[in-house]
Amino acid sequence: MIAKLIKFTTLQSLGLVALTLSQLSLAADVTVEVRDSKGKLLSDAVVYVEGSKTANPATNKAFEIEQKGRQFNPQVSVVQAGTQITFPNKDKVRHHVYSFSPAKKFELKLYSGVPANPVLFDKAGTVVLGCNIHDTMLAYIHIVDTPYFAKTSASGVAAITDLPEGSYELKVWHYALQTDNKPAQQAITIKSTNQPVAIQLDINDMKLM
Amino acid sequence: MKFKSLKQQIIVIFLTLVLGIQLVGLIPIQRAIDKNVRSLVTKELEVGEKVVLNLLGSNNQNIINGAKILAADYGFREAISSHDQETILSALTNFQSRIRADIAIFQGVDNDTIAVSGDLTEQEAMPVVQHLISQYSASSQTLQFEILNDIPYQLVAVPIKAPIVIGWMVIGFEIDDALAQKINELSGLQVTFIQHVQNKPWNTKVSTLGTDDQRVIQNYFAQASKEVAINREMDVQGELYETKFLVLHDDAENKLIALLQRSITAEISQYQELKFSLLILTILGLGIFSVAIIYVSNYIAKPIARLSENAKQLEFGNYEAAITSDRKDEIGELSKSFNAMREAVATREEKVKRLAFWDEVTGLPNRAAFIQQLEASITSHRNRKLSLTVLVLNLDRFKEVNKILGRDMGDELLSQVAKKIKAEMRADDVVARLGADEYGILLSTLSEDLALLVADKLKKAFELPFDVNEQKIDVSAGFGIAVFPQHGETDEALLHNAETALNVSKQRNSGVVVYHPQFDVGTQENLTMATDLKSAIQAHQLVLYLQPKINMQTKQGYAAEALVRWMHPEKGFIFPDQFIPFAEQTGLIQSITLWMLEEACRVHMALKQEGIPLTIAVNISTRDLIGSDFPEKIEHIFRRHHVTFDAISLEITESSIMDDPVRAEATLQRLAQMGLKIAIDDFGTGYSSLGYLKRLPVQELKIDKSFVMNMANNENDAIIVRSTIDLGHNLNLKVVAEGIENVEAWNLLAKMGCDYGQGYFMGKPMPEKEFQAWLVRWESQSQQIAAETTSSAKKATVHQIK
Ligand SMILES: [Cu+2]
Repeated sequence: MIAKLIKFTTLQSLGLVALTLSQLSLAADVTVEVRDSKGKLLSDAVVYVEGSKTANPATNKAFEIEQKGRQFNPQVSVVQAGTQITFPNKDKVRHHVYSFSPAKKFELKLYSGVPANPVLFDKAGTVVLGCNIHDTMLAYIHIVDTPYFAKTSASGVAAITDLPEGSYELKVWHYALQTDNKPAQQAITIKSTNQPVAIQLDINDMKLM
Repeated sequence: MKFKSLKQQIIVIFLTLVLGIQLVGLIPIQRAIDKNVRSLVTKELEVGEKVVLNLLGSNNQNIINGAKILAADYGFREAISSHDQETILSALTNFQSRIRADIAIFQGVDNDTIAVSGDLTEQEAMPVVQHLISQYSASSQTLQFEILNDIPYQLVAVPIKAPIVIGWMVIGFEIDDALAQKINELSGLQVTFIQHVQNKPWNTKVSTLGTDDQRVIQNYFAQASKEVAINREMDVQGELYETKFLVLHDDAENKLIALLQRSITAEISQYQELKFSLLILTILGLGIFSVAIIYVSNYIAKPIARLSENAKQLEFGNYEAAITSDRKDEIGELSKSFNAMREAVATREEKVKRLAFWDEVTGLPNRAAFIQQLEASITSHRNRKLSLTVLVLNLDRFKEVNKILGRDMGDELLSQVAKKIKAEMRADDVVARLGADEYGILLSTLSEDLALLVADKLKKAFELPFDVNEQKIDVSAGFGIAVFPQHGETDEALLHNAETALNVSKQRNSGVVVYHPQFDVGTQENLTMATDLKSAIQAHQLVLYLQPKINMQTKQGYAAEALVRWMHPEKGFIFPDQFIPFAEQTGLIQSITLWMLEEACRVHMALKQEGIPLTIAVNISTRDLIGSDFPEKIEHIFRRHHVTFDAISLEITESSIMDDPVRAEATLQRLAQMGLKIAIDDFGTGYSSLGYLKRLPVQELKIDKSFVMNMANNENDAIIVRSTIDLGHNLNLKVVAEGIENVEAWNLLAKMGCDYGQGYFMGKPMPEKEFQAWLVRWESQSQQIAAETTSSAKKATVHQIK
């Protein structure tokens, strides 16, 4: 899993390098701290910025959500629209991964190992993953239309890097959000150096459901 | 309350006790049954409630399990995710019919999709579903009941996940009779579901009870308004139910309550049978106990009642009724003791009776018995106008026999006498012992003449000696006779008079005496006699007679015994035996004795002047001897007449001495000291001891005429006379024989050495004036005696040889 993360980071770095190369002088970072309504730091919150300058579609990007120990991993993922996700089964039992979510309806009927084709997530929105065999298996994929996104760590902080200076909409999503599961949003101006942004979400109860 | 008998007491006490115990026992049994039934019913209700809840709970689980199957169906979830309303509804309907639910509802989480299968509109379903979703908890399932369109339902809500909740499914089952029936089967309880919808009255939709009962319950709830207790007893048309209220649904508008009921009445009725058999047992027990207690009380009380009855019999003098009891217990002991007592009392009474009416010594009836018999005989003889005779006899000198031979011999003699009398009498004559030595004989139907014959016969029988302990004892007796009706008309008078006659006989020594009114002191005639006798002394009506007393050796007649005669001016000549006993009784005898002494002195002096030195013997009585001044009186008389003490001698009967021997002896000693000669009269008839005689200052013995007169015929008498003469001589006494009536007697006595003789052969008692003439006659007569003596002596010899 660590290897994958490194790989993912590397890929991102590559993108960032490209970005840096073109608009080197304008790039900046921003950290976002997310709390629930009680002020508790939230992990697995998806943080991303949207703006006019960011409309560059991602193509042939790859992502992986494995099934291991009758669990999805990671349980919360954020990807840019157009990302191909593979669902390798690391368990000995077979899984039947499905989604009835409008953002992407699909089903991978009982399989073991790595399915032949990855699934393309080309529409922004939230996809809830389930297993028709194992009711307890549950994972969320939040698909965004921007390359600038991050996920809060266990300490409730996420950092978006190499962001060109300018005005954006900062959006924060969490699976336990109350109001129709819509992301919270807020306008943000990126300068060369930025103060950390604190966001409080309307979440009372940290449930995976 | 008082009970007459012991038996009743025992029965009443024990029956009351048993009845009391039974009744006291019944109360706690009744209470225990009541308490038991109630606690049993309460427990049954609690168990029933659990059963009902379990049943509803498992129903719930079954529904949930069914619902989960559909909720997990991929196709169904796919239909939901694609908002395929028709597919969703058809799946619901299919499911509803499959699990026989009455309602099946689906509602999406986004509230934009709702599907209802069943008798319900979506609008009606919405709020119920919302409510159920809000009550839902994955971990604990609460039973949910709702009233929809007036119909009660048990409802279950199940979430549909894909994998997060995408919708809800609600399944409902109508609460119907089948459920109530099932509850009733499983729990044995009556169950009624009663509901209250908005403003409608309480209504029992479903119940195991009849419609009438349901109406009662509805009324009950209507009256109880909103107050519904948890548990209570309900009276439903006479049947008492313990009731548990199970509130299934309760909101502002609707109420649904399940009534679980168990009939107390039915439960108690099961005990009713027990109570009935208990009652039967009680009655049966009482019956058996009654019989037993009656038996026991009889067993105890009957012998006691019998004893009591016997005791009553004893009271009336009936000692015959013996009590037989072979029982070994206290009552048996009591019976035995009672029997022993009865016998003892009977024996004692028999003895008392015997003592009262029988004389122990002789075995004869006693005086009381004799009087009783006499009284009865008088009555019967009076009625038949028959005479009857009372003969009493008294032994002469019995006191002496007792004194000399002892009391045992005396008793034996009395017994022998009784036997002899009995032997002489007819069988039906009554012989009794009247006193110490007195016997009474009741001769029925005998007149005076015949009675005299009987008395003579008896007197003859007494001439033979009695054989007492191998000793021959001669006993003579006096006899008194009184005849009914002439001598007395009552038993008392008759016996008294017979005894008076007996006394006379004793005093006169004259055997059989028939009562004469003159004997009686108490009679008017006797009172007259007493007065007459007193005056007779002053009036010189008493006359002194002299009976010659001849010296048998010298044949001189210069002694005489003075005897008294009464020349009564009206009655004429009266013999002494007709007034001397009377004089002795009244005490007049003392005056007579003094008169006699006076007269004897005078006669002596008169004859002395004629040249006749006559010694005169004067009889003195017991009373004279007892009177202490008697010697002085004699001395005084002698001195007045100038008579020497040897001129007059005194004669005393043996029995008069024995009446008071000590005083008699003292008086005699004084008289002897004065120089008076003293003779013992009637010697041989009494039992004075020789030792005693020896002590007395006596100079003469006079042999009783009864011996002398019989001497010729009775050898015994002859022996007595001879031995008396010898005895007298041995004691240095002169011996005088009385009753010499012929020359043979004279000769015999002369031969025996007798000193003096008296009797008709020599001379009868005669007045003083005739004495001189007699003396002359005697002197010539006495000359012839010598010649006659020889021949008569020969005769006597011959007689003796015979
Ligand atoms: Cu699976």
